[in-house]
Amino acid sequence: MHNELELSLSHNGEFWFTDGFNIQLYGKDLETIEDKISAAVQNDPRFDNDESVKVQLRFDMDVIPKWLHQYHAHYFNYTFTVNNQELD
Amino acid sequence: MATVNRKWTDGMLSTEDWWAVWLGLIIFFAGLMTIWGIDLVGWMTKLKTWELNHLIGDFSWSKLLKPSSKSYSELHPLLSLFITYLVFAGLTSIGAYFQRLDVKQFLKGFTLLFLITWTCWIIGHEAHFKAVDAVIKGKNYFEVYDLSWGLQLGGGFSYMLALAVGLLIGNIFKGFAHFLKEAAKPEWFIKTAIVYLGIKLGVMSMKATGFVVELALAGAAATFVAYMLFWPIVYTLARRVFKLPRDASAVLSSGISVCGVSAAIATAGAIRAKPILPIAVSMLIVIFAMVELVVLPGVYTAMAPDQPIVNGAAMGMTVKTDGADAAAGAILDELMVSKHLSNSGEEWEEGWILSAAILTKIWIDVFIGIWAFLLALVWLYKVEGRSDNTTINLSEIWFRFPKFVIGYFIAWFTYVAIAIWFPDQIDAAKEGAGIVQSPMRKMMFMLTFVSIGVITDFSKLKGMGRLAILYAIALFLIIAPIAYTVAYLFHRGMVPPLVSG
Repeated sequence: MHNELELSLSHNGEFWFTDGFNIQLYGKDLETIEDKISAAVQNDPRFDNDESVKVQLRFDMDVIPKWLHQYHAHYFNYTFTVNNQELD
Repeated sequence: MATVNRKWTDGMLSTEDWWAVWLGLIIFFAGLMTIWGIDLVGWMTKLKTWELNHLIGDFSWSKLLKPSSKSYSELHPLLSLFITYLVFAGLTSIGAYFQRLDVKQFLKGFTLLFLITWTCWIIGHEAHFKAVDAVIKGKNYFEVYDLSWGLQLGGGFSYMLALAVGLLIGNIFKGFAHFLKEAAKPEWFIKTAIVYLGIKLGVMSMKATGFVVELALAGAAATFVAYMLFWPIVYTLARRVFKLPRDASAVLSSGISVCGVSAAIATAGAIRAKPILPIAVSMLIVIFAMVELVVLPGVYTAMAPDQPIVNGAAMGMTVKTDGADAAAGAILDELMVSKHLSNSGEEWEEGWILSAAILTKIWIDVFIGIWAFLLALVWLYKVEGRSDNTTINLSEIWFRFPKFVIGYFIAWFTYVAIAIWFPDQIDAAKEGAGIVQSPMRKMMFMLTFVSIGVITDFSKLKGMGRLAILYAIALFLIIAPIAYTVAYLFHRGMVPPLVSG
């Protein structure tokens, strides 16, 4: 079975972070945070029966100063897939 | 709660870009009601050319202002101005509410911006600044007011004054600038004005189809030049000469070469750079755009007074950010029309040079989503070497598409449709549309000039070092000359039609 998970992605000037799980996950770069999300998915009983989980990372525009939104109101979204079986 | 983009409809009520469409189309359709004999826009205040001694001698508000249409001619000029304020403050405050701005602060700021704008605009219509020594619509204001001197700048003086006042506030009275900031939204105001300008293009399409087609074709070439020529050159310069990192080089190259802040943010998002990078680059772009806006209209007018459309199109390729480009195009339009009138006695129709600047820019804007999408793929799979499990969704193209363009095209094609299918309604449609695309559009431009000055703080250049030097070199030694050459190749010899013609 395949499942999907949507997380918002933020940046505090030093770290990328997401609040989608019970704890805040953070990382210096996106690969680190993807690894942490993958591990969190693996340990989350909600996804125990899922072969893979498609994680939608959506950037939180509140990070960009409001005065810049008038120029461009989107930063980025992307998707990565966690293969639960491989992690197991 | 986080602000993220999920569905294609996201942002329709919450972004300035979409609110430019709504604000633009509400007023546009209100203007079209003249087709059915209903004048919903004639209350809009229009300015008159005045002279100080004549005014002091016998003061009357009606010497300065008047309602736009005859059906409202009985309105006191100040009541007309008050209605203008109420309508625009009301509509923009509704927009501010949905954009989750502080509405109370927005309204206070907008009210002050409105007052500053109209004060500058009225001053700018004083005959010594505005009047040109030539006969316009049967009148020569130099003779009417017996002027011994005059700057002969047309409407350009109002724009320059509004900009100077805005800059003064933004750089000297910073506390006041901060107070106004919630309402100082140059991109929102200018995008709304550009929707109104769509009407002008509709009229132009009827009058000179070939001219508009040529502008559109040249816009396509400008797009090619921006993405395929400027970008690689600036990127190479940044990497090889200035030794900037890949991400900073890419973001800066897009900002300088393509469409300013919008491109810088889109590119930074595409390569998933830390947000601080586009924020820093955006400050640089806004400041340099201001320099271009101040310098280029005067330089182009002096350098090539007989090449109006070349100058307009070159402006569209050179000046970054829609606000600064449209503002520079508007000043250029006023300066060149006035200069030509004063030199030759011929009056070019206003708005054509501005349209050349804007149409060129819109072409470039439209492709930013596709460009950023392709760049994201290149970055992910080639530069970062990622493969397997990461994907970029096609919806990214839509999220980055400049939505105000939709309003611009609706206004444009509605007018064309009326002319094709309901030719007997053109004159009635023109009555309302003329008010929207002239005094209303110009007021939005004036608000843009004040606002763009308010948010430009030159002290932000401190500490930008190499980025600022690279920006200056790329802009003035690479972008500007190539843009001018391309514009010259496409538009040399093209001039706007004469008013009498």
